[in-house]
Amino acid sequence: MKPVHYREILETRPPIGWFEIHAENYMGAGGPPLHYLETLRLDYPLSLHGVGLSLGSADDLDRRHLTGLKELVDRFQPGLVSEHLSWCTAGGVFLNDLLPLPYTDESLDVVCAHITETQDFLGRRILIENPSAYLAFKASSIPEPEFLAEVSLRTGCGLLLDINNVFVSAENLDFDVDAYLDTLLNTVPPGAVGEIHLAGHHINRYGTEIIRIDNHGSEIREKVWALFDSALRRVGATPTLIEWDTDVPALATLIAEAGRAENFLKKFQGAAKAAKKEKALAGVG
Amino acid sequence: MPALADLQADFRNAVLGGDDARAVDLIVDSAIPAGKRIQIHRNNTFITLTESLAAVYPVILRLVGKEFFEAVCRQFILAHPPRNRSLIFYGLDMASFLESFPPVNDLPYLPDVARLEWAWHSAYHAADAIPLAPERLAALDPNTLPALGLELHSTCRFVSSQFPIFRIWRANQPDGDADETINLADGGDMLMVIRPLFNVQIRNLNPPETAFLLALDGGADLGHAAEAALRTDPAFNIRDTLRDLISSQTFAQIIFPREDPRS
Repeated sequence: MKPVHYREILETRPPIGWFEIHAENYMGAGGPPLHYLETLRLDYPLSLHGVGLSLGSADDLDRRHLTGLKELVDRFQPGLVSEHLSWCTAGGVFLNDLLPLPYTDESLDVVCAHITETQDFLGRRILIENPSAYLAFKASSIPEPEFLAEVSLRTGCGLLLDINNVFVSAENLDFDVDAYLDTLLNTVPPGAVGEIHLAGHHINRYGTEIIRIDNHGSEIREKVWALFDSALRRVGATPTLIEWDTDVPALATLIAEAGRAENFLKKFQGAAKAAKKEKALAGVG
Repeated sequence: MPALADLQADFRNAVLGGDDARAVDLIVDSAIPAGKRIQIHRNNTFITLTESLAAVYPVILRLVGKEFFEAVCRQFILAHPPRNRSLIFYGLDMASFLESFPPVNDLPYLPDVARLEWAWHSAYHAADAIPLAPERLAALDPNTLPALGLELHSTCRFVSSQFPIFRIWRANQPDGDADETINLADGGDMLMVIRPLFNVQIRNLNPPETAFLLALDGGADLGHAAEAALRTDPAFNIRDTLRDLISSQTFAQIIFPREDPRS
């Protein structure tokens, strides 16, 4: 949910399944953003998506930040709480970017310790999102899907499967998307995937080479929709979010994308569930 | 194999310091050079932080232009990288940074405009409070008023400048007249920035109002605050001023004097 859409959402109450917010944008002491969120929360389920916890940092977790996150969780009682398999601080400096990790035994220990600390502090399970990658570290010794599955097995955390990120990373680092999903989803227990993200990405060119940038600034690409379909075949209907963070379009465009996601999801809802007229599973971020 | 802390320090230094050499060594070689790949992350950091600063300082952006603003932000980010992971708190140091930034020396009003924009931003996100209702004071015995204090609303901030920053601010709002001529010698401003409920307001204060409010903010009771105001202007009308300030939702609480336990 973006501030430019606050009023329109409150006035029109669009038929969107749920909303997701970046927790860090609501960590002020008061003011209109928290008021809008409170009003919206009365009518819609909410997901809290964090971008600042820096679970992959060698630094200790920032307890002040964790406390701010817990205050939001306690106040708004979101259905889902998620963070990233990445890092964004080093030596106390916040880089405001989701930076890649070397997939090593040390990183695995660090990430798992931080997730456990977070889950214990919040008193609930969180979902961890697979990153978009533009580079790989020489030090990495564990393939990402194995690393992520191991994180889930060790900590009990769920997964936020970002389909666009899988696609972007696979293209940028030259791995196979189907093998990635097979490894990840065959290793984690059923039900581990608690949420799916969809977004658009940008194509940058360096001479004859291209690199895909996960900028959340356009419509979802057809190959990402196809991969979404393939993922749903494996995990079943799962709450799915449309992310659009740069060049944010009219709310109607977001609703149309959520509607398209909803059509995919309907295919994979069991007959019994469909008969119960379940609430929409597609949300907007 | 480098320890995680070392790898992250090298990567941070590449993003912020611009020295890629150590970080490049950490990255798998491919058709696209490692330096180009690091540049994607450097762009993410600088572009998103600049966008965040532009949202807090739209008037500064308009005054200096997009290209110059981005160059200012680049230097600001290097000098004051964020430490809080919520960017709501990012940019506090902009005014003091501009004061010591030689390229803007010929725009002496810029730091105070930045102070005003930060005051607006921080009032917007400040803790909410229910403004003091006029009936609360009206219900009290008038004879007790001089001994009472008044707590300013939690969103209240003061900004003073020797330049006409309120006019500069207004002229550079989306609906302002950017071609308006403002004479810097026209005199300064004493401003109160406050958000009683939903909307942030900027109010011009005259000298006795300023003395009155600053005295109350410093813990003085109404009697002493009125005396401070009268010293700046013997014609100061406390009754009207207090009524206007209360009806414009300037205060949050009545502060009662501490009772003397011996009496």
